Amino acid sequence: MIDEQFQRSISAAEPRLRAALVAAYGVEVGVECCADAIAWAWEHRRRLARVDNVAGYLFRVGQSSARRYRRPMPLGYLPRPADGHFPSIEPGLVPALEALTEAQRIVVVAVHAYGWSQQEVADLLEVSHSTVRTHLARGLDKLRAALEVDHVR
Amino acid sequence: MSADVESQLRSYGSILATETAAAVLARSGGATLVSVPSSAAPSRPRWHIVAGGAAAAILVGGLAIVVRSVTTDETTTFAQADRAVAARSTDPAVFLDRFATVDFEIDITPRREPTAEEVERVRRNAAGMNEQPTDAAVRLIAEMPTGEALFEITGNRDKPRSQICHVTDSGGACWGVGASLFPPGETHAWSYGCRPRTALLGLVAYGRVGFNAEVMFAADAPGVIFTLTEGHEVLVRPVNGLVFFAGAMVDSMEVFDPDGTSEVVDTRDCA
Repeated sequence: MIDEQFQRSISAAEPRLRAALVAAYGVEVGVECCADAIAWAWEHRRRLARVDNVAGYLFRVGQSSARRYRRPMPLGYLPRPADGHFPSIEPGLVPALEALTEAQRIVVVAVHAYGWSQQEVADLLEVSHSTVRTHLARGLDKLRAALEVDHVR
Repeated sequence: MSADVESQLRSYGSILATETAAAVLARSGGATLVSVPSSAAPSRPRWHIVAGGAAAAILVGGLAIVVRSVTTDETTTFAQADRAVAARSTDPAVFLDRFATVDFEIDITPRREPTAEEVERVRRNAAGMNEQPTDAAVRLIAEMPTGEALFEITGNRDKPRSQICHVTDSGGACWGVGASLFPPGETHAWSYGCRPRTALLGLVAYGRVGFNAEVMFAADAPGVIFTLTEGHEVLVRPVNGLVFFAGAMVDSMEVFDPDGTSEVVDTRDCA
């Protein structure tokens, strides 16, 4: 019974969990940490069965795992666009993303790159909607400043 | 004129999705969940118990401690070894098992060799050393799964070096310890259930769950796990370890024997 519940909850949580960890730590570490979190979830599935927000819980497990892999994160951990394939992306975007705080980067990427709602991000991170909104605004401001893109409010 | 940031991010999202899918695919042949009874751990390291009582020490080419709860009845583990630990060739498998599943973790970087007297005191399980070979170089690198954590990080060599870090999902905020909980540089007494109070001085991490440790590491010691009274586990991992002594608010400790067997010490047993 617990195993079935585990499978259901993990299936529902895994895509979002992995996407958020990739946003936070890049593809290589993010994918590894997602696997770590799910492995942890399996070992602690009885405990996890009592958790309401499985994705949010496992996200923190993944965060813990990530920090074992790389401290601090080296530059270049987010993938760069292949030359010429994405002319709409400024070369400075990815470095600017990497320069954001972890929370800002997760929120910015989740909302604007993945298309999540702010509430969905808040649920995953287990923070308030207003916190997400603040991270998003500050993150975008930093990106605009880095890319020297005007923003009309 | 450049595309607006939001548009650029939308395009970048497709790159992230593609790269992520490729990484998942490439990884699909990698580690998988396996069940390994803890008692079947293949390692039979030449450990030597050098201390007992409120804290238990195990010699692993130096000095290390494993403290964990007997209430953990899970015997499954996974084969995906922690890379950092796996890089230490002398680490026994049991450490890999345990380290892979802790709830949060701190690193400690000592800054000098312990004196012979300090080493001897560690081996005699004598707490409350007057001087620590550790700087205040502890980092809380993950918050507790249950939410925010309150940690105090203290180094007594350079007073006052204490900080309380209130770690939340949006980052950490640290402030001076003040005088209420743990006066910087002063010996603080702590008890282990009904065990005698033991003076602790130096590098101390506090959590709301009652984690309290004084730690030095042996060379090549892989680290230590504390199981807190609420069941959370903390891995303390040395960066450049020397010697180790620890005490934690635990219900019990599992002391590993040289032949791989273990003995459980109930810290609440007053008999």
